[in-house]
This record gives sequence, C-alpha cells and structure tokens, in this order.
Amino acid sequence: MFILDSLLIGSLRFVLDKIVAAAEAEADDDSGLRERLLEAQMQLELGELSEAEFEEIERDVLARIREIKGAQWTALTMSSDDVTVGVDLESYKEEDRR
Amino acid sequence: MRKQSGSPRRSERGAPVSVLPKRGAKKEVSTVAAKAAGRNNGSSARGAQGKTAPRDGRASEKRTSERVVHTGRAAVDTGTSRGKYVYCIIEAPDSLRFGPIGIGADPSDVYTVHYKNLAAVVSDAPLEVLDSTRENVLAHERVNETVMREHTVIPMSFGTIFKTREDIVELLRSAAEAFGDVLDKMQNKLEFGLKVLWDREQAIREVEGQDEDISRLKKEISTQKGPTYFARMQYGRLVDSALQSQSERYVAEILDQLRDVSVASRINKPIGDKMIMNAAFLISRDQEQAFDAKVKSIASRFDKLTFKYTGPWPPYNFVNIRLKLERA
Repeated sequence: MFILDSLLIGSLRFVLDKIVAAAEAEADDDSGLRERLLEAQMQLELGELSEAEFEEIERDVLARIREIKGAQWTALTMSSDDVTVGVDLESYKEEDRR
Repeated sequence: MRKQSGSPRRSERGAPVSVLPKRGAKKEVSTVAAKAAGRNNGSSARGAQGKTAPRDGRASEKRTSERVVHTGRAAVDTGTSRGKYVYCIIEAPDSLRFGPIGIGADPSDVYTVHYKNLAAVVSDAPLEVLDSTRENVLAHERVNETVMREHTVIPMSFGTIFKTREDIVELLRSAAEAFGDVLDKMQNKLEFGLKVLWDREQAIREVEGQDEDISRLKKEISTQKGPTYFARMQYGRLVDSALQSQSERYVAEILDQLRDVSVASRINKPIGDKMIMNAAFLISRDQEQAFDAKVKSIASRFDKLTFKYTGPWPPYNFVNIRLKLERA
C-alpha cells in the first residue's frame, strides 16, 4: 500500500494557459473527492479500513471524479500557431522554508 | 552539455540506511518510530493546499478564458484514438527507450520525444480520462522512478496526455529555456516526504493531564448531576485548542531540526485527523545522509509520534511550470 498523493493532488502544476480556466474549475470540483481518496488510502495503510472497504470507497470516489472530469477533460494540444507569451517558472525558493 | 552524466546515479547512492528505500524496490514508507505501521510502501507528501503558480504581471493582463484554443475534446473520440501520455521532461540529446513499463493494462513502451537536447518521456495511451487508481498512479510513478535513476527529471502531473508527438515537440520548443533552467536547478536534488501522525486519544489524555482547566472541566462533567452542556462545550474547545498548539509545537520543532539539512521544504495539508504534519523536503544529494540521520534521530526522540518517511521522489513539490500561450 502506498499513498502517492503528490500525483493525485496538485503535484507539478503544469498547465497550459489555454486550459487553465478549465483546470482550475475542475480542481474546485473534485479536490474534496481526491482528499477523500487519500484519506481512505491512509486509513487502509493504518489498518482502519479493510481492502474490501477501501475498494468500495475507491470505486465510488473514482466514479464521481470521472463524472466531473469527463465533461471537462481535454487532451493537450499545441501548435506553432500558438505563441508563448510567458513562462511562469516556479521552483523552490528560500521563502519555501516555512 | 549532458547534465545527467555528471550527476551521481541513483544506483551509486551511499550505503543504504534502513530508512531509505532500497535500490530498485518500490519506494518504501519506512515507519521510523517504534510503532511500525503494518505495511511499507512508497509515499510522498502533497496536499491540496499546495503551491499554486503565482501569476506574474504579464499573466494577469489577459484572462485565460479569452484564449481558449483548439484543445481537442478527446472524450468524443472513439476508443481507438491514441495520444501520448507524458511522464516527465529530461535532458537527453539521443533517443532513449525504457521498455514496456508504461501506463495501461497492457504496459506500453516508454520512449522519448525530442526537441534539441530536451526530451519528454512518453508512452502511447488512449485519448481518454485516466482514472487515478492505485495501479495507474503507481505506473506513472514507476516510470518516473526508472528515469530518475539516470536523469534529472521534471515530473509531470498524473494524467497529462497530449494529442500528438508534434504537440509535445512544440511544448518543449516553446519552453525550452525554462525547462533548461529548472533541470539545472534540480540537478542533484531529491525530494523526500515526511508525514507525522499521532495517536489522538493519547494526545487528548496528555493535554487533560497537563492543563488544569481541562482536567477540572473533565472532573466537573463526570461528577456533575444535571445538564453539562456548557461544560462539555467548553471542554471540547479547550481540548481542541490545546491539541492544536501541541501539534504546532511538534511540527515547528521537527521542521527546525531539518532546516539545515534541506534545501527547501513544503508543508502540505495533512490527510485525515491523525496526521499533524505532511511535508516534502528538497534535499541536495550530498546532504542526503545527513538528512536521513536527522530524521531518524528526531523519530527516536519523539517516540510517541509515528513518522512516515519516503523517497527519493522526483521534485513534485518543488517544480511548477505554467505556460502562457496565445493563438497567433
């Protein structure tokens, strides 16, 4: 059992600006569900949920995420017609020491 | 310049300390403290409240929605259309193959798509929403972990799929400089996750023992005849705030201890009600052993807390790139 929460939530927020709006709206919608999934993983790891109980929650949560995402999801496309007007690059800074 | 050749390879890491993941094995959650949780497997730290890219001046001038372009609506496609799932960006002048370890029930070949000396590590995947099942997420991580052994990586979020190879080349081209900068900055850096959990019931007993007001109220509630509603409410409030300050003290002390052996840290939102700290640390390779030793010494000192220590991870918590595009 593992909790790959970096990947499930947030992680590298690599977003092409043209889909930022959609992505942000989506994050609003399903972040609660993603947290629920992580919590269930944690509970499974701590032995508070059985594998079967976890799987039931996982199925349910994923189905609901899919419902939200399905309507909005798009594959990324780029073309040379797109002009890069800016690149926001954020990596660690000293202020990250909090 | 081939940065990866200069960097110490993961396989050459110093003598493994028990807390660190074994070479080649799935990252392990090592529960450092005595209270080993039953299962050990990888994990890293990230909460929903994590960083978001600060919008700079240029960005704020234009709202993204004005610039909606031709993002293909793949959902309408039939199941047969294929896209490219992107795992990470690396520096590699020549094409590479990582074998059939890609995402999907029938693991697809993982290979690179290039622009100059930048490469995206990809595999072919159906153009559809990918569920974040454990299996899929693990597959994503497995690829990044494999690539990381030999290269500095900029990891992509789970579920990033481009429509065509050309789209990916264009991505690399348009942000080539930024990718180069980040790859330089992340060279010889590793991310580790540290989650700290406590036994909430035990913590409550402790604050009851330490705080006079709380213990008095508790006695009152248990002996009082008649309604205890207000005493209970006050008791609850006091316990909550005592727990809060106690956990903050723990976290502050732990972070303080790790400051000198890390390059940066991120505090993410704890998961569930037992977790008091959910942090990610960026570690320089030459400080890895010092960091490791420090984590272990902290864990043995705070023997009432459970520590979940994982890594090395790609720097998920420490890289964030946002491209701003305009349709010409």
